[in-house]
Amino acid sequence: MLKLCYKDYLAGRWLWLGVAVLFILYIIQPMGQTILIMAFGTLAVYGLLAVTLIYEDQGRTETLYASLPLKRRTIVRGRYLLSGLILLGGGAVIFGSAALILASLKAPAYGKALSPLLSAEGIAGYFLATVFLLSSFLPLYYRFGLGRGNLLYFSGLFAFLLAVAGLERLASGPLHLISPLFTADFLGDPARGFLGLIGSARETLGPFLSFIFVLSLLSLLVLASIRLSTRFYCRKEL
Amino acid sequence: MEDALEINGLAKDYGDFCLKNVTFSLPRGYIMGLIGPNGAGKTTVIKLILNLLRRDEGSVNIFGLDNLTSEVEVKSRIGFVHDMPIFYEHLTLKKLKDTVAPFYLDWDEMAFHRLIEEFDLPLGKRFSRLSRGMKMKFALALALSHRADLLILDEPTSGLDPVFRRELLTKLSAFIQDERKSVLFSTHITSDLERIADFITFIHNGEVVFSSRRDEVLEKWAVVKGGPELLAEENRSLFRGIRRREFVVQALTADRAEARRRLPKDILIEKASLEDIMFFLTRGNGHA
Repeated sequence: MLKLCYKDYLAGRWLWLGVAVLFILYIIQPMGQTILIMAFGTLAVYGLLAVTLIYEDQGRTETLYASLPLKRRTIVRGRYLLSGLILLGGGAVIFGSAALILASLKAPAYGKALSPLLSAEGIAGYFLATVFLLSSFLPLYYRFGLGRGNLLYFSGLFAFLLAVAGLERLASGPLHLISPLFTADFLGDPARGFLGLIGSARETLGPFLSFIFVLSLLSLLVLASIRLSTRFYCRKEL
Repeated sequence: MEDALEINGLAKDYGDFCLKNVTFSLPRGYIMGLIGPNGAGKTTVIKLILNLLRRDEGSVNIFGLDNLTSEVEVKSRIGFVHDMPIFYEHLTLKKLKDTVAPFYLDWDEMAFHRLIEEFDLPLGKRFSRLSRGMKMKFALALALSHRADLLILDEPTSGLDPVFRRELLTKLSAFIQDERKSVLFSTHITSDLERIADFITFIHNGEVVFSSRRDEVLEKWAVVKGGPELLAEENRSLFRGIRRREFVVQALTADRAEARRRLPKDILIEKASLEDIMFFLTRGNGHA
């Protein structure tokens, strides 16, 4: 599977570098918005994966590599391994550059924006968000291809966000189940709000249980995603 | 010794096109030409062999192994060239080789460099900058560099100049000098096959019309030329395709000896070329 990752690395390395540089250039601006940095970081990770898929789609190289001595399921697992490596590499760039900027540039705007990112909640938030995004995207890619997969993915994501907002309204309004989550404070910097949610869960469950909970959630997501992608790709006609 | 390739009752339904009960086998040490007009199903057969498409029925055995259950083992013994060479266009040939070579345990780096030199390919050049002929040569160099026992080529000569076509055919002939190696070569340029193929499998409308030794095909099949009297009812069963002009009738028969016995002596009976056979079987059923 590492050979498959190496092949994708050779194909996409310069654009990967470009995406990483863009992210660092972005984070170095003292914007003071953790949410934007997190969103941009997550999108950058998605972008790193998208680069390899776009190259594959453009060159129609899927047929070539499926003709090599490999099982289809190995090809899918290779892509998940690559996603994992991208996730870790992206995380290293995001948190590494944030830590470096925080340590070397003392402007308060950096502290406001980057400190929450470098907390346990920030790291858990990054992994939860990116793993969720990549795990939901890949099965759609293997089922519908790059173009239709992306369209469905982003439409689905939009619908999901609307549904979450709607449920929150319902639960905090007519049903009186929870106190309003998306307050002005939350919306002013929803990443902190999001991280705040993770922080509350951490306080309720304790550090060990919350770690196990996050790990189990991520594993479940990834396993379900791999299973679906494998099923779709094994049926795909190239 | 088992056949290099054995296909039995292979079927695939696309809705608007069906591959029906395709059966043929290729013994070791031979070249088989897979011929047929465009859209006959040649590429579908090749893709089914490589498990790029899902078959509906039938079996594909390569060196006695099923191509689905022993996929990795089977594919590691196959060298392939697709009809359009497909690689990352922005990578150099050297980098492209680096993306393919690690997947083959038997990769022979020396053989690869020998072929690159022989084909005069620039390893530092981007794939997108190569001509179609050079792209095809590169694909062939990759296919020949991992000691494959079966080479599968899908229309490798279409759109290429005669010099390279001749060069490729020479290469294929050299490849099967090792009698364990075989070649399946799909094309609609039948003259290429008359030079090198030992077996011919003809596919039309998703069905195998015949699969025999080339010499047998060229010996048995014939074009019969005569006047309209050729179309007499008692002769019709002899013909597999007919072309009729005002005063001349040409017909294809699969049994030259029988035609000679049954037809009048003044009727001209000539050996049919593969092109004649393909032409009559696909277009020769009606009037000119």
